[in-house]
Amino acid sequence: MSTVGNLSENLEDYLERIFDFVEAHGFAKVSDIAKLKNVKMSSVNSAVQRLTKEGLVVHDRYRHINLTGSGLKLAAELKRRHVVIKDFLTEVVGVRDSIADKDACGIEHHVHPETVNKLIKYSNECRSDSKELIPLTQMKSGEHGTVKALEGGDQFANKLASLGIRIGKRITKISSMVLRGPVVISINRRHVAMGFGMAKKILVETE
Amino acid sequence: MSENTKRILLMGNPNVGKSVIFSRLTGVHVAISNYPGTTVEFAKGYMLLDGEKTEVIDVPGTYSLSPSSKAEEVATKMVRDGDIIINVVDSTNLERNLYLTLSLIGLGHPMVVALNMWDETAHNGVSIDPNELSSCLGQPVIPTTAVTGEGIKELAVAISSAAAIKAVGDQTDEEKWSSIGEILSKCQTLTHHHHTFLQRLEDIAIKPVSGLLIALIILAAGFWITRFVGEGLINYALDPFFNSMLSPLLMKLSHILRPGSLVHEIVIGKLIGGTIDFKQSFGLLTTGIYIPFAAVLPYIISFYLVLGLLEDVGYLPRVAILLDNLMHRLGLHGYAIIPNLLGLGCNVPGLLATRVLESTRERFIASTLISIAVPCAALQAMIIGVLGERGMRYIAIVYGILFITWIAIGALMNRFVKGFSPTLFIEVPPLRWPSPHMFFKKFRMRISGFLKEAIPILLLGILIVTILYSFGIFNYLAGLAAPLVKGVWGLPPDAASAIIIGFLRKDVAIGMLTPLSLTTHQLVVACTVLAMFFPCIASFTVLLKELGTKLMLLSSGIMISVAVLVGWIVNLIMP
Repeated sequence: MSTVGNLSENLEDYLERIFDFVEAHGFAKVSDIAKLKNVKMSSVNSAVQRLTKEGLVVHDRYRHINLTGSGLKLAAELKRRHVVIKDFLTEVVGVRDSIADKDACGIEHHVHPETVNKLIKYSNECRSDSKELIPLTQMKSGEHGTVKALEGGDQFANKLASLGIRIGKRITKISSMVLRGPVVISINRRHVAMGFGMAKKILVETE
Repeated sequence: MSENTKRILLMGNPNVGKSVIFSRLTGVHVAISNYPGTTVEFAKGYMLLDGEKTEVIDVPGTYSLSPSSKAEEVATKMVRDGDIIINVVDSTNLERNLYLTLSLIGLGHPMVVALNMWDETAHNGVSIDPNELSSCLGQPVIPTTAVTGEGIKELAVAISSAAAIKAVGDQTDEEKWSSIGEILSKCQTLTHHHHTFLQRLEDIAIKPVSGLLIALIILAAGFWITRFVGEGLINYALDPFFNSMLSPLLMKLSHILRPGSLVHEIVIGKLIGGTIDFKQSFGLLTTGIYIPFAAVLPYIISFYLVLGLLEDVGYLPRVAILLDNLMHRLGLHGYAIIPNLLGLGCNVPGLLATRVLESTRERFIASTLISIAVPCAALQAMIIGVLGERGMRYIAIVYGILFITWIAIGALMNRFVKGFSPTLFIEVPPLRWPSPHMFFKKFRMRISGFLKEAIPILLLGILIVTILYSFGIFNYLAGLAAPLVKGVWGLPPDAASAIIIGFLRKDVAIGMLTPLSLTTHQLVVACTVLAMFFPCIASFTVLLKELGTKLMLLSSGIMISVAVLVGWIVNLIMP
């Protein structure tokens, strides 16, 4: 039984995958989710139907799925738990990345909010000696830094990797436009431009 | 063609020079620019491989084998049908490029890696050992500088001896990145390099204040050069040639054909005040050649000189960054400015370029905006020609109306078209000095493209005008359309004929306004309506192909409503 809403573990998982695609492309497609989860399109369709009934997702005539306000809130909460648990497993406990990710996927559906909060507090205490991470948007132009964390799913990470942005890469911020405009960074001696929302989810340790 | 013709695929990340290599191998000319997404549809050519005719395909660039835009989809679908792959790699950005290389190796096709832009490695402080890289990858690796042709011969030799490899099976992403790390540590050394002039320019061109300033200077200079070259060609070369050389010759022909005869009507058209008026006579040999060669061609030349330069230098993606905020208000992201800018030359390549956009919604909005409010060079040339006589400010008014409409319709579509628009995420190409050879090749290709595609339709348009006039069909149509044309837009009913011909070519349509002797007020309304009303047949075909019937009909509905509405408003409020 889930602790966030009244969704089954399976549906929560679908919601998270939709969230990942929405983050990367602005919308999710049934075929993409089926491919990612390695299930039939019909299973995805019925899951999407149930999520629609719950008022968590909507789809338009191009069969693009997007999250409603409450869907977004729930998915973000699930994601946050995932990240918290995964970070705890990797950074505090020292579990390998791929295993931590898998375990976090399981644990996140069953954990009480209080446990999550305590985990955050504990992780932060353990980490307090290391440097603080800031989002790319808060870096100053001309500053150098190393990408330390990505606040998004696999889809987001893959999209960034296509232009060379991965965890551990050194980058230099070149500029950012006013009014939450795009951010330009230099990576591998190349300039890459990205929207403000995307840059906000890239966490950097500055030098 | 025999069934077993071999097929070579040119594959690689966007903007690494696949099209240049393609054109070197096959001799086929394709558009080449310095920004990601120039090639949105595959091009096909042939080369001789061991004396055998072999198909070569220029595949749109892709970062991975899981596509994120329509152009990338084309690429990933093509992979299956290839016999040999030439993986074109940007030597100055090896790490990122190798990701696709490893994915391609996983497929097991015979493959050759072209280490392109080899000439740029030195001043970027990059040094690569091609032999070591070849043994790391297990594939032949050939350094090339496609722009100068260096290494192309060696590449051709390597293709003919490329053999099938055993498919290694797909690695996971993590495995790929760790092998890339290993490969790089063995094959590549990076040294410190000093920023060149262009690299310093790259930095200031995307800072908010200096970037905007540079953009404004470039915009102003672009307009000025386009006008200066276009007007110069017309005033000092083409008008004198037509008036003092061609006119006397055609007058002789006119006497032979006898004015008033049907042949005279078709070939020479009407005599205005006893002589030929290239703008009003409307014969095949008078207005029919004056419009394409003397009125439109000069501006096509000047526009593509400026655009080609900006494309090859690599400036355009910087405009996309500067305008990203504005474009989001129109339901697009910054990169959509590039299809719109291309549309200022001709709407067809502009519409095709919308394929670089990720979602159907964006493609619909961008295509509709281009069709309504982005006037092609031919249309602009005619507007300048016809309206310029009444004063420059009227041209400015038409441009102003089009721009406001562009913004307003974009904002409305952003509000009402369902779906989602992703954020901007692009690689910004380095600024480069253009290669004159490549520059003029593209320029020639565009000019001859205009002449070959525009002139037949244009002459057909003029012929139809003459025929419809002589049989009185236009008068009948004018009567039918009078409530709209006269009642709503305040134009003489005869202007209906121009709007109908506008479906064939807009330049001819604007040309048809001259004999109507409109007031300046009417001329502004007519030019605005014609610019917006309906795309010419060439754009219409592309629109249908790209959007599908349903969305095309929706887009056309928006176009017609906007043209009717804006024409009405302009008629009401303009003094």
